Amino acid sequence: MNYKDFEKSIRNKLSDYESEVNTDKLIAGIFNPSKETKHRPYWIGYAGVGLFIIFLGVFGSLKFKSGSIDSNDVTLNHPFSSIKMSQDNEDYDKTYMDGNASDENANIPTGSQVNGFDSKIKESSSSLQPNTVYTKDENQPGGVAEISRKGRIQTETVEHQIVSLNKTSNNLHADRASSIPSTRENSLSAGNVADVSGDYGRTTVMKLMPSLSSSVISPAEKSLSGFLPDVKCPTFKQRKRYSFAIVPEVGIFYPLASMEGDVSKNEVLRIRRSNELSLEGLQGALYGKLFQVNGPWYFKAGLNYNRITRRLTFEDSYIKRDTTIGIISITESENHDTITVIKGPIITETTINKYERRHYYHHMLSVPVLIGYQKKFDGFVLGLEAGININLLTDQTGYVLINPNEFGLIHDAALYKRKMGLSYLAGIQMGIPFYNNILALAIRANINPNNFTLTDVNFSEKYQMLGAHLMYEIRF
Amino acid sequence: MDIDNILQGCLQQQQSSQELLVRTFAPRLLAICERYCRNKDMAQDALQETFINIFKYLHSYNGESEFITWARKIAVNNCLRINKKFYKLQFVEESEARFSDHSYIPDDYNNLTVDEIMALVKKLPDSQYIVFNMFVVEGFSHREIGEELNITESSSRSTLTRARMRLIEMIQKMEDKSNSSLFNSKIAII
Repeated sequence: MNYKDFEKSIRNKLSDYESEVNTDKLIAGIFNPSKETKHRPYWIGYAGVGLFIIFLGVFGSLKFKSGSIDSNDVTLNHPFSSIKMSQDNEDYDKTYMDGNASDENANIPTGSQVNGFDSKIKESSSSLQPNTVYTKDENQPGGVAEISRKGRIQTETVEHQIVSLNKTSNNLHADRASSIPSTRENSLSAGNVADVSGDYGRTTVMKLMPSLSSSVISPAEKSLSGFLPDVKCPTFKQRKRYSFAIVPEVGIFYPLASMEGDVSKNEVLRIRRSNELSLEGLQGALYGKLFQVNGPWYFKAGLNYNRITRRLTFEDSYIKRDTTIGIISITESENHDTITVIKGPIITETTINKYERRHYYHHMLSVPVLIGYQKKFDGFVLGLEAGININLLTDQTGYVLINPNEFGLIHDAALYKRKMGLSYLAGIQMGIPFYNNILALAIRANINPNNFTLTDVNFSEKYQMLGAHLMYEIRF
Repeated sequence: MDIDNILQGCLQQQQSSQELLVRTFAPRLLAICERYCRNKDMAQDALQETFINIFKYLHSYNGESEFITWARKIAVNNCLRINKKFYKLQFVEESEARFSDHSYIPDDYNNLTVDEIMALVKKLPDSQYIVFNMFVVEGFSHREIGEELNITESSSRSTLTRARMRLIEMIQKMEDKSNSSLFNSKIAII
């Protein structure tokens, strides 16, 4: 038949073809919209949850940060006085340091001097050495510096100023009662005596000057206020239980491929199994990480891209036979009266050698969700993590063997699924602190129980991945 | 009940008529959906949407063509829309290649089953597969194909020609292969 008839037969067979259909189910689907199944991109939900977690982490982290100051570096700032304490939380003692009281008391201005704009402010420098024991003398009208921890204290003392840091109550007093007129006492005490009664871990910045200036005070007090310190008072309460980090990650992995199927019936599979090779897999990811500040546990979710590369080197040699019917021999009888012509197939054989090398790629976009345990050791961090990987999208590019001697576009071959579903992750990581962040290297396995090929493809293809991943944890 | 009465009932929103319409045409429309969808689940969904659209736009059916022809177009539209992301349609505007309707096809190919035909046709690249189906099986004109796929008529024509040539080429290849294996077996017998 000619092609036209062939096309007609296709039309006749296909246009009237009827598939079996469950009409009851269909009717139920049509008339009950609630049961209507739509292809909702389910990964939007996962992505939403991921973004929500990231948002919570960032928000929480910023909120906590706004109320906290690094308590390891506490500085009392003042134009004339600065107290720098190197903290050692475990090293408290009851050493009291009295700021050179005897010398300073002599120079403390009296109330009248202050009122008369006559206060002589003398600068003096004194250095208090760590092991010097100063006696607390509360009878002194001023000049008592009461420091509750051991450390090196350097002060440039303003004569009329008393700074008291009391460990047991965590009260800080800037008591200027002796030098301030009694009429101003209330306002000054409101401004200058700050009680920080919190527990350990809380740090409060007390700016004495604004409180002074906001009160109704005399010009003399205003002039004094210029010398009052900005005090950062450390306490040690940890309100922040969780913190957030962003973890960019890159990695390489080796995809361990398994192709199962009946090779006796599938020549393409046989060739692919024996000639295909996994090359390096590339990975890139961005995680949001929510971790315990004082604990080892963390939760991590993000967006991950994997690329598996496969290569098939096809080397084949085969003989192509062309057959024509022709005269094989002509024989003539002895007396030349009969000529016999023998016709038969004339076979022309051509040996064809073929060498072709082609690559194809699996691209996978997924949402990994991990729970981990991370512990700090001396100079390094060790962690274990496990979780799931929700594949959002899988696509293939490149060329694949579509019949025993031909490559074709893998996309047109329609062999593979678009979504791979769930796989499992487990890994171990080791890192080093890098400034406030962590630089880590992880060895991770991705166990993928799913078949990559479509159900109507008569072989299965699976990949298990083992890789090394470099990550940088940026902590907020 | 004939089709006109069913349609009349559907226009009056009678559920019994709608159900009857579904039962009558679902098998044939599902076959169409299966041709254009990558898997059976998607074909089922496409079929469901097709019927929803049929009931929605039934008032616009003017009876000029057969109802199944009209429904068939809705089904194809739905499938193309649903499967848009799965198809890589690349149409090249090119001068029409030469193609002869009289190319020889072995008679055995007249006896292919539907599944065998589909297996053969599905080997065509996406764009050629779609155009071939729309033109040859569904009976769309090149103008209609152009409108559906947002391409020009000439592009549709040249794509169809390429599909036909590819099909013939595939058949010839298969024939060559079977001939050589047949010949080899004959040689082995001798």
